[in-house]
Amino acid sequence: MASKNTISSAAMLKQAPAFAEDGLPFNTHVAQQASEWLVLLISGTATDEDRHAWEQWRNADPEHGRAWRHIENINQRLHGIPTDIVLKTLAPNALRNRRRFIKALTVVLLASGTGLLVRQETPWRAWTADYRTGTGEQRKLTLIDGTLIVLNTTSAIDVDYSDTLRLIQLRTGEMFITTAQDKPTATLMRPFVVETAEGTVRALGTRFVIRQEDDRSHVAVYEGAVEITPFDARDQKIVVPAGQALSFTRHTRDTFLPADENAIAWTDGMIVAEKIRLGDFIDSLRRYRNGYLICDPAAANLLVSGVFPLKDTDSVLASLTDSLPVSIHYRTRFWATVVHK
Amino acid sequence: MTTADTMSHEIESLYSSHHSWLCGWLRKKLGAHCDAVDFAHDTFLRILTSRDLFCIREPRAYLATVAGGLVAHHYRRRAIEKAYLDALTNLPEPETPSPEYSAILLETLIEIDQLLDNLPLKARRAFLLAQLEGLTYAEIAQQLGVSVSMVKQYMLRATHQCYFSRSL
Repeated sequence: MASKNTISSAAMLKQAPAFAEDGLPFNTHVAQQASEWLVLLISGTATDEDRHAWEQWRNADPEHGRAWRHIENINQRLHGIPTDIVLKTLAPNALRNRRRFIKALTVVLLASGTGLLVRQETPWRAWTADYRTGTGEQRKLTLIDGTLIVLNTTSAIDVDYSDTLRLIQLRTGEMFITTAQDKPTATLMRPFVVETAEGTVRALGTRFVIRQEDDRSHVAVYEGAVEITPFDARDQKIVVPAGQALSFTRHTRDTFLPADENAIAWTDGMIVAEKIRLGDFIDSLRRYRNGYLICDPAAANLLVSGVFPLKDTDSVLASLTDSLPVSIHYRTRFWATVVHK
Repeated sequence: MTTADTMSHEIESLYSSHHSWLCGWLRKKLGAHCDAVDFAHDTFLRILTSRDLFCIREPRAYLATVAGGLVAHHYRRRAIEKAYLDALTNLPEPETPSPEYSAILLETLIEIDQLLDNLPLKARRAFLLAQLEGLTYAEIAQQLGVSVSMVKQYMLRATHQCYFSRSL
């Protein structure tokens, strides 16, 4: 680790030459000196003597002056934005915000100090998965044993079947599973297990839906039953029977809720609302849509009912304006706000 | 033949020999998705506007590298947009920027992110805390749980990266 963070001047020399805004490159040596001066001047411990020496350096050569103006130009842009937004967006405090920004799978990467936070976001991981869907897309798969899987929007899974286990890893998103009887030639029935960031879910002959959320997994069972084993509470196996739904974390579970049939309308490309708060409806719709979709708090408590196709979220929004006192403001095609009239 | 002629000839043959392969490659990576064609288009556009067309020895490996970079950049941008929006929702109401200002902020953030490309998280945070918050290195060291000399190393690396390493 230490060697990685140490600056190697050889590595720096290999980097592409730096250019100023006038398009002329800087001499690597001058660039290095300017960087060192800046690091000294903003350290909080620079003395008057240091500042005096820096001024001498800056005036000693026109190239030094040009390098310094280049730094100041970029600084102007740096300082144009509220500090807390820059920090929260580009370099969040890892401990406080990690749940908001990354999945449990990536915590290991962060702890070892490698890479950028945004690099570790789920879409990038999902890109290398066995099967994935884009925003607004649903995809049906039939696995080799006859198990049917429907992937919902922005989802990714790895399929890992071995002689002893049928394992699906849910990396992100949501899937609906109808398990098949394992092939009769198998000497033993291989268990069917889904692994999420929080634990494993073993199917006991079943139809169920499983969703990876920010810091928990959600399971709803429509037929048969599943057995949940949270990663940090392996002795506490939880059986979820048909008609029930449950969210769990690595070490604990929420309370049981009834499994909502409307919640799996997406497997038919639909979203079904029965007197749902508009704010909650927009939260659901957002998953199927590229770009930003915001609901004005003044409109969030209006109630929505209806069956809407997920294929075209623009027309879903348009139809809201027919039945509710709202209008849709498009700032760009990718930035829509639902506002109260 | 002029250089421009050679260039357009090169890109033409690159396009006709490998465009459908690239679309297939992207589709396999991205899943069944119409984005593949867009990314392929952007890939050729990127190559057209760069000047290193003459030194392509392995055209498909090269195309895959450029296309992979574009896809990564796309996801990265989306990730920043999301983090930015999350940051906004945490602001108290009066501080919420106007939509116009908000769009400018986002573009600037993406620009700064590119300046700090490839820096480890702690180096980024050290640099931004020193530059924007005016914290001393001792204060930053305490916040990040590292030594002051480590903060200096982060700062040197980040400073050089931010101001002088951008390959344009």
